[in-house]
Amino acid sequence: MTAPELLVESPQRNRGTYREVELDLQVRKRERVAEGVVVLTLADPAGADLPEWTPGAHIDLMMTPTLIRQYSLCGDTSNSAEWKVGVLLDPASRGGSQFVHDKLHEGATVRVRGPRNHFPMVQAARYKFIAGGIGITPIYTMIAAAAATNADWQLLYGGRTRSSMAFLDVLEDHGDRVSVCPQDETGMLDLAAELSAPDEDTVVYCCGPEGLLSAVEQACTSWPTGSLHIERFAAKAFEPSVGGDSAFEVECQRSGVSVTVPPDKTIYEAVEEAGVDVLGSCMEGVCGTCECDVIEGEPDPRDSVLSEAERESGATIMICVSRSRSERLVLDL
Amino acid sequence: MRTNYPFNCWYIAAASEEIKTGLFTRRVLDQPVVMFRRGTGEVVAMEDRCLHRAYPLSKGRIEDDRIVCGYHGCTYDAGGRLVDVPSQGNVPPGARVRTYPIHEKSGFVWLWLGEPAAARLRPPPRIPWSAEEDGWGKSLEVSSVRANYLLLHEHYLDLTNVFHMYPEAAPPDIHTLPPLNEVEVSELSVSYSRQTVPTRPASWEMDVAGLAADTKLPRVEEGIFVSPALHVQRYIVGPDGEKPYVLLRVQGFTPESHGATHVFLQIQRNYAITDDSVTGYLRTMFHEMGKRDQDVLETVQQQLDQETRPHRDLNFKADRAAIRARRIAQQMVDDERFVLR
Ligand code: FES
Ligand code: FES
Ligand SMILES: [Fe+2]
Repeated sequence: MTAPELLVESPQRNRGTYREVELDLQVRKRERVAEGVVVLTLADPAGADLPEWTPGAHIDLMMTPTLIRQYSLCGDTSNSAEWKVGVLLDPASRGGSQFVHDKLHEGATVRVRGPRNHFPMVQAARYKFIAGGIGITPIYTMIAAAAATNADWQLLYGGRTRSSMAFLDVLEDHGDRVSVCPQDETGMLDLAAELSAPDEDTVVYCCGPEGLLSAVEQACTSWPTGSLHIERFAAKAFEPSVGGDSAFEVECQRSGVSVTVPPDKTIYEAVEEAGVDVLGSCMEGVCGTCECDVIEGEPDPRDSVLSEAERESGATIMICVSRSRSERLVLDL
Repeated sequence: MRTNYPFNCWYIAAASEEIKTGLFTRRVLDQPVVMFRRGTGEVVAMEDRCLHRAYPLSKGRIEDDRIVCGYHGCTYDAGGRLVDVPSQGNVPPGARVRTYPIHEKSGFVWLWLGEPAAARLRPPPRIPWSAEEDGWGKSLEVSSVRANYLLLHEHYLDLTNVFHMYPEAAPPDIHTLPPLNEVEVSELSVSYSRQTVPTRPASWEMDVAGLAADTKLPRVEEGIFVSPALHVQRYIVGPDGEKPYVLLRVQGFTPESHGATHVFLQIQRNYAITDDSVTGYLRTMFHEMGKRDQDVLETVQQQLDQETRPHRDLNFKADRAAIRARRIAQQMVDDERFVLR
């Protein structure tokens, strides 16, 4: 075992007075669960309890002050002594997975932020889970929950090759609820067939690479609004609006502050400069930390967190990326 | 009215000492629940309604770990199974009263009314900071407030009301509480803390902790919204000193219905542990503060009940923790009753 090392050298906590939980956790175990995939078990060095979480939640591993990556928790929600995350060691990566590979040995300490959940598992009669590659990590915990509560569920699990796919041993114990589809054996996932029959009582949960997510979004267009839940770790690409962004007013009702948000600034930046307390994390519209309620005005959502229905209702906004369609936006800030 | 409390959550149903030898009933999340101890001491909880007619089982009696209904004598075993129908020889197979998961620990009986199998997906309830077993002085009070449970959380998550409601309890050199200096959130919890400048003790602090009138010490006040069922506050006098005086205010909030809440208030301390007069002093003091809180909370609830048009509360910085707590509870409720929108 390597000597413990603290990876964030001078622990600079997020200074804000309103912030997410940050903990220095130790890598208790590091297991290779598939080709290129390791599962890290994290625990408090002194054995303290960790915050509670529910299936679909993720944490940030703060590897260095600028290298922060999000990983879904994939362990047992009832275990408050340790967390597990699955990491794909991508040989092409120079960032997160490289760092995990090189530095996160057993005994090392790493700063962790969260958990938070933007992929919450709603109660439903039936679940259709679709996972691609490492996208199995949040789904894995959801399946444990669905199985424990005797819900009806089905998993379609795609990957490059069988040996690259994690958790197969446990998943295949569920018999024909699970379809394992390594691309080199069965080709691409047949999403059209899988999702051809929209069903009111079924919710679809999908996590995986962007290609899979958008294909599933496509295939689900005829499904009832709200039935599709997806987890996106990379921000969705947005078409810039024609003629570029324009300025608008934001009134922070609680703080009694009004600011103009110029085209080259985000709402988050503008209100923070004006001294309003805001909570943020990813700054690219994928984590949902900066969400706040819209009291008046019509937001222009640019995040990857909100569902289609939430987007349409315009009741909340991710202020790190989203803008405004109306000239004025009143926020609960 | 649509409820605003989640079912998939451990709630305190009773203090251990409330469940003695007889049948004990309490309404929790608008469900009637009857509880009793088996011969082994283990607590059993089931729906407080006979399968035969709408008669509460709690009005019957216990016989050898079984409940005998007080109306026509139907008998149920500890697993809720109907085992005897006095008026006929056979018992309809499979007839059973719903039973609920129970977790008894450190003086509280926790109850799970949600999806039964989901109970084991949630960690068993724990009280942060607490010396769970013996070793600390404790007092306990069970009461009921005619107000929604979130109003109670909100009230205790923002103690800036202290100077208005309990000026006598505030140490003499502090005249206003700063807004919380730190609020830390995670998916399901909110914690906060504030530190005060060194101050001389309030008179109650001299009485219970034996602090001399001229000792000037800082204080740390921290709290956690652990779940919709539990709020814990820790008050430390002289946190960096040799002997920090720690007082814990453990508050279990259990919705009785949408408009009423059972309150389980436990005060724990790490000083004068065996001094019963200190236990009594704190019990009386917190009881009286609780009465004043109750008054305000019930007035707010009545006002809300009478409103004919929706109002949007104005929030201040000090409300951050409470707003987050409300959001967590709301999210839990929404996840449980997903309807396709
Ligand atoms: S900070 Fe992550 S969505 Fe805005
Ligand atoms: S109501 Fe209970 S036995 Fe008839
Ligand atoms: Fe997420």
